[in-house]
Amino acid sequence: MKGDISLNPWWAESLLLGHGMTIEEIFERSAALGIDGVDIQESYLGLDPYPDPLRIRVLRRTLAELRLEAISCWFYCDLLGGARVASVDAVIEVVRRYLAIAAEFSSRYLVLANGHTPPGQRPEAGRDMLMRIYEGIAPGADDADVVVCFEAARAGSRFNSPKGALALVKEFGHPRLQMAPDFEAWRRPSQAMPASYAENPGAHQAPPLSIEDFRECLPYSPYVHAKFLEFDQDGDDHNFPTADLLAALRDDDYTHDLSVEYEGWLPEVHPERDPEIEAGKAVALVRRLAG
Amino acid sequence: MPIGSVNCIREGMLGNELVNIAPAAGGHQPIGYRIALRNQFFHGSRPLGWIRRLSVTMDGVTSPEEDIRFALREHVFPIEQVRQTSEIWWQPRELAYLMVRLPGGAAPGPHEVSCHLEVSSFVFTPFVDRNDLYPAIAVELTRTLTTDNDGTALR
Repeated sequence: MKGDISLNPWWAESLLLGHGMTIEEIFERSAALGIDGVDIQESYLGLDPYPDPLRIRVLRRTLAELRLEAISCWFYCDLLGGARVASVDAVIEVVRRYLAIAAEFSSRYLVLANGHTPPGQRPEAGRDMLMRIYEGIAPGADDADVVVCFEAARAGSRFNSPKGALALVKEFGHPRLQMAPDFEAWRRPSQAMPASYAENPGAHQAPPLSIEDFRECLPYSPYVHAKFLEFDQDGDDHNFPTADLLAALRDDDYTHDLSVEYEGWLPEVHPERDPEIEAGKAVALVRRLAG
Repeated sequence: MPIGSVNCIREGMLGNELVNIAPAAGGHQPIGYRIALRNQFFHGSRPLGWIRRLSVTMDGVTSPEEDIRFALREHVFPIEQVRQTSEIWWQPRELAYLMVRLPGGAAPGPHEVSCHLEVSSFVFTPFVDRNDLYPAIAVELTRTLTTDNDGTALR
């Protein structure tokens, strides 16, 4: 793999929420795990509704001192839902602000999600709406020199799946509108960890995608989200076809930066494990198999 | 959103205080009580309108929504207004207070207190789903709290 490794500070969410660990301390601990940068999440910015400039300044200074890059900025997002609840123009305006924030952090990527067809709308209308949104945000991406990556984590979703996101970015054909496949779409669900999600707990989920599906995404995936849940004694996570996914990245001709995330701290997974140690295992696994 | 069915770190969300609210000048009896609620939701930086419904139950008696106020920093909102608010955001780890009208306040001693929240499943943070197009996700928080004053400590 020719790209850089960004650690998503989500590994420390339970420490932040439950124990009051600061973002700065999370960055410090992340840096000690041997990474190139971190993902910035919207909840770190003091949005109220606009970001707190002091927070941005403190975060940037902390990262500079740690010699870490803010490789990406993540915003919790459903573009289609936003267009339904507000309007297409309002969504474009918000994303332009997100792009400005990403530019302030000198981030390479802004990670968003296409979302789902809103209740009461036809999927075809969703596709048309997304194309209008893309047209509205592409100039802002050029101006900010930031690549917008549409995260694709749900195997069966029309627009949030890797296949759905791939079809959209191919059709739109803009170099700064790309995708970020999420290993979650390749996860093998188990009884202990079924394919259910907090935002939509009862929804039917499609089976995991194939490695060939992953390879098809790679030419449009400058950023890839490598999520992990638990490691065995050899440091492998068998919830995903990890070795095959990372080998595909390693052997690909394109450069891919990697967002590495450990999510096993969740109350329903392994809250008893030390998330800092497990996050270190995630970084080590990626270095071993994709490096 | 993460895998599974949990959208917050529940432990510690309900604070450990149950404080009676003193009346305005001239009164003698507490007019209600106050409990603390810490934002420990995942992706928890949210406009208040993300909260779609909220109720408080003490010792099995649920207070009607119109008897509850949501206090954040210098703002105090009726719940109906919380649902409509997009310009004021609740930050991760930030404490809010639920002020519940109850003539006489909470009697001295332990009380079983529950807070029932319903938050929107709509996930584009700056926008509030005022028409409830998207289903809400229920969160139930329960804790035994003990009054530690006689109703004169808090105005």
